[in-house]
Amino acid sequence: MVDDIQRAPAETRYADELDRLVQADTDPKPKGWHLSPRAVRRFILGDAALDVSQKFFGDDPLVDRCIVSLMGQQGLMLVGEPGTAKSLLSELLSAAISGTSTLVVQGSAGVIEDHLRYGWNYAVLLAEGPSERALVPSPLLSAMRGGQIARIEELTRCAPEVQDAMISLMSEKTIAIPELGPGVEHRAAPGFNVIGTANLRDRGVHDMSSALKRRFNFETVLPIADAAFEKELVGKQVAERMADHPVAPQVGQDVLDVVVAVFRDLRTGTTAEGASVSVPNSVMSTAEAVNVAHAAVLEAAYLDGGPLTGGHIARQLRGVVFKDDPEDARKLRAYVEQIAKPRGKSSRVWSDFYKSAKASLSD
Amino acid sequence: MTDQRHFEAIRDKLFQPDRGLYVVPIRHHSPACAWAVRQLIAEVQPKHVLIEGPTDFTRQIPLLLHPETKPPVAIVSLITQDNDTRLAAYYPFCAHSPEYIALVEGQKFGAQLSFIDLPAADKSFRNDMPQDQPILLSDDRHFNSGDYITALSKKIGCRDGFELWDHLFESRLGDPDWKTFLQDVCIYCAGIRSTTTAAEIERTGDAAREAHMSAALLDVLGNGPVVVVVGGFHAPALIDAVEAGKAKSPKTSDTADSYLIRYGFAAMDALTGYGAGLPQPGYYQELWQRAASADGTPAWRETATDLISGFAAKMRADGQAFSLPAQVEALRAAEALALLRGRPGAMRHDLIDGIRTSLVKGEVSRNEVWTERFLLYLRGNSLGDVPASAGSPPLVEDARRLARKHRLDISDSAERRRKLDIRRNDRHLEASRFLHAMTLLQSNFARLDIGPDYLTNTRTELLFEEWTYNWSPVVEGRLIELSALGDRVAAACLGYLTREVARLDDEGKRQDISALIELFGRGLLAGLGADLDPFLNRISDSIQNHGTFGSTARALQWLHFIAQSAGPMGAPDSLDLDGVRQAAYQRLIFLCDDLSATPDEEVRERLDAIRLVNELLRNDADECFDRALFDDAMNRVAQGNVPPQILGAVLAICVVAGLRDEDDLIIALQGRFNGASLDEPSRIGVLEGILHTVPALLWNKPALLDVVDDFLQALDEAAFLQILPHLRLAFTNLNPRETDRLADLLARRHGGRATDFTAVQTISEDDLQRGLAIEARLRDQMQADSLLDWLTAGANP
Repeated sequence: MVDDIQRAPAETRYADELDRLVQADTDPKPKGWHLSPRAVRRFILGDAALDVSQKFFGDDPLVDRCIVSLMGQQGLMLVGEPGTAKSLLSELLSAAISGTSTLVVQGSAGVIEDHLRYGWNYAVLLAEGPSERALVPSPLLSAMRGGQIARIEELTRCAPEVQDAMISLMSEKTIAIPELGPGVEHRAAPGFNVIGTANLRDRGVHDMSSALKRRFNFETVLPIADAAFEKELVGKQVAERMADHPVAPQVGQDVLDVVVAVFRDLRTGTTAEGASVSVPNSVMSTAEAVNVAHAAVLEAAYLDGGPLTGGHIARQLRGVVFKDDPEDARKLRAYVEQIAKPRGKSSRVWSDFYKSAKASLSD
Repeated sequence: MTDQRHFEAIRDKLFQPDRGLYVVPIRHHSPACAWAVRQLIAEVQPKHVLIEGPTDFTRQIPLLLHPETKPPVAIVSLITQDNDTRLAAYYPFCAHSPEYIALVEGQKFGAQLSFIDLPAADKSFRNDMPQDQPILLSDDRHFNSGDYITALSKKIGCRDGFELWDHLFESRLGDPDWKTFLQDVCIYCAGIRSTTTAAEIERTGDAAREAHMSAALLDVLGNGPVVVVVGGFHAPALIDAVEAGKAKSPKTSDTADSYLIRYGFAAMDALTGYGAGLPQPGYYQELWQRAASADGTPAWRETATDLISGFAAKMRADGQAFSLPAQVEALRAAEALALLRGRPGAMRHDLIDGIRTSLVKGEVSRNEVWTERFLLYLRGNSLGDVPASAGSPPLVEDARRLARKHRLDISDSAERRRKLDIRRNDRHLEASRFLHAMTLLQSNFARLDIGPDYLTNTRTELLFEEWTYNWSPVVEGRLIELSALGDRVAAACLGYLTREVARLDDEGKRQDISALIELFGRGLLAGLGADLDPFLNRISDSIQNHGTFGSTARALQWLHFIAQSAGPMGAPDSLDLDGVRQAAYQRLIFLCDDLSATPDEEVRERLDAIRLVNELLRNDADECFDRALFDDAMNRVAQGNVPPQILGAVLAICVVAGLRDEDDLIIALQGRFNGASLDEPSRIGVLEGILHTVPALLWNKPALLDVVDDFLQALDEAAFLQILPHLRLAFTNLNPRETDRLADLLARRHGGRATDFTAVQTISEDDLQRGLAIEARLRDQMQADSLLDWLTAGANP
């Protein structure tokens, strides 16, 4: 039952749309693809005629380039600030191209080479010796066998030597299994490719070697450029998260304006009026804006029992985004005093924001 | 569908052979349109070729078709406005412009050639143009925006009007069926027009221009085949007028001077943002040439391959080489994108995307370097040529006019002198600004012999400037070179400064606030005034983002100086100097928290900065700045663990501001004097800080002097000698009057007067002789050791 899980994969969530696209798809397909490149594009960017919703916004040519990259020899590497829908795009692409988005390796410092190649079911291994039955294929090996797209999330969080394993895998498109005998290897079926997502700037990530970089085409997913659209998105996502809660205060448009303005100002370093702002090290993504707004709504609902104000936003901003970097606290103070304070003179929400931010900064 | 029927009705009336009418809807600089125009003229062999372009440019046609003329060229028109300011308006042509091809082909068949739009001086061309843009007489913004373009782009999956145009029309370059092609352009343009209201067409001046063109068309209609080449947007209006059989030509203004000038792809491309046809003219030129040599559709695959390998070669030559596999991937991606997007071959956007896909390795911002390099490559660098008889461009004219206006004799190239009373005579100040502007442009026109230099702050008390100037061919040559920067001297100066700022960026000096401020100052001297707004913003940005405590303090002082200046360095009120000054002050307050972590090598600079700000605030009689903010910040700094010099300085300021008791200062002084310290000099750090910022405290707070005096008395000889050089350095911050005052006070404490302690050193003549003898011997000795350099090194590095 779908209701019993938090989030179903894209191919389940959008099964109807994918069906309609398959039915209507007359364009040529590359070998191993479930849909033609044009249908993949329609799946992601929407098609009113087939009642297919748009799922990725703001950069259509980027989607074209991603699709075309996956048709070639190169892998696709999606990079960009956290919270810019890289993983979503990777999931949608693989669901549309291979019909499955679940062949995922989640990168972390704990990932070892086995996770990229294959492991063993040790009980069977001990009982029967190395055999196909004892082999536990990695998502990558499965994708190779099935001619599907494998996804590697947060590749740069893997240790460099694990990343290195990807190099030959990407160029040879084969995995040898010497335990099963000399010459046993799995060559990738047509349709196999890899989508990686990576964060190049965060703390605690490893550099990617140039050899590995050469095997990927890079696409940077940028934050949403349009303020009105970002506001709509934040509003929608907060409402979704609050859907299951028994109490939820109304999220006023004016409060949403403040959330989006604060995040955009601090992300871009320039306010809508053109004043410059020092950009903090903390990530000021749309996703973080949603987190802050969500936390603020929870606080207003469960602790204060009142309406959501600018003050809730300010308090959550300190906790959710500005963790413990004193330099960031200074930058936030400068923003609060120089930008938020004057805005507070003409706006109630900004005034609440200013007071509460000032109080939380002097703690 | 009424719209569809309406569109078809227009389309069907585009070509009416029985009436001898051929309306040709085009887009400026579109090779596909040029191709169709060429086919059409060859087939129709018209008696008249009419072209959308200012009617007064008709007299430039012989020059335009002169054998020595090589596109890209432009006709530039100098228009004098009602308020006596002058504007330059441009009409560029390149080898693949449909208008140019129409003229060339029309001439072949002996057709009568004429431009039929309103004269260039007519206001209709400028109704919809912001003042700060170059004026274009061949404007086609309609193609790039509007509801129709937005909706169609979205439907077809193109990112903007440019991609849409390429997708629909440039992809058909070389199509022999000119008729269908032009009919499709016509329907596309009728779509654009149908989403534009009549009021809008009236407001932008399009209605007046269309009436004028229609009248000119009706004049010649019936005298043999007429080909009329107009921007697609206007075609429906012309067809309607012919149907009605009449058009009321509006009254036209006077004609203006026009010149045929050399033009370049760089200049053309820079105008794209203002609606001057398609961008990256080099790319379309390439398409045109390939279509011409194939006499039909260019070989798309070959074109894409050559462009990408040409780009690779260019990058290799520039030291930015990329590998062969990357080239292959770029080409593959471009071709696959073209296939995905349903095009016959990789077009401009596919190539750009292909390059981006293949070459970018890492995270990029919106302005990505490989894309920019590729765009520059596609832009091309072609420069046109014009016959010698073509006259001189506007910047030269403007410089001449200004020189005459300021009574500078330029009738010959003799060198002349001029003395200007810049403080009291406004006309002289204006002349001085012009001369400064010409100097800024490095035109070799004038040099300042004597006068105040505000930038280095020397001789600012002078009331006069003395200049030497002469107008020579060198000056003219330099101005023609600079024409790309602007049509007028002021605009060129602005362009020049903008370029200098860009150069700072290239050299990695983005953060160099003093360099930016110098440019701003030169702009003020050149009289750019309100136009310097972007530079001021840039300075403000730099201060906000990169200002250090020292640089921000200096910038603050300088901004304050300008804000209070009149005369040569005076800035107009419209420049928000006060806003920037306040922002700099805010930044400074923000940076005060950095003082606690001052590295040793920056102590001096920061002490200077603290003194600078303190003095600025003390002399701030108009209360421009909120002093309390600075004092509070100083108080905050004093609470932290800061280097002793800084501590002395900030505590001293706090004491003066009344935020701290003098006891705090005394405790700090004593703490350092008596504390355990690894190096002797740091013991007097706090004292140094006080002397640097508020030395008056020493005589206004006797208790403070007691502490210092006690400390010095308690020192033994060895410690005193060790600390002496540092004491001297600390006390050099006092001016002579302050030194006297302090000396007097100290002397009285020890029972006497300052003069009693003055050391008078007398030496006898014998002493002097002996000294000289020793020096001579030393010198000989050093010469013998070949060490004479040691003596002269300081004087002669």
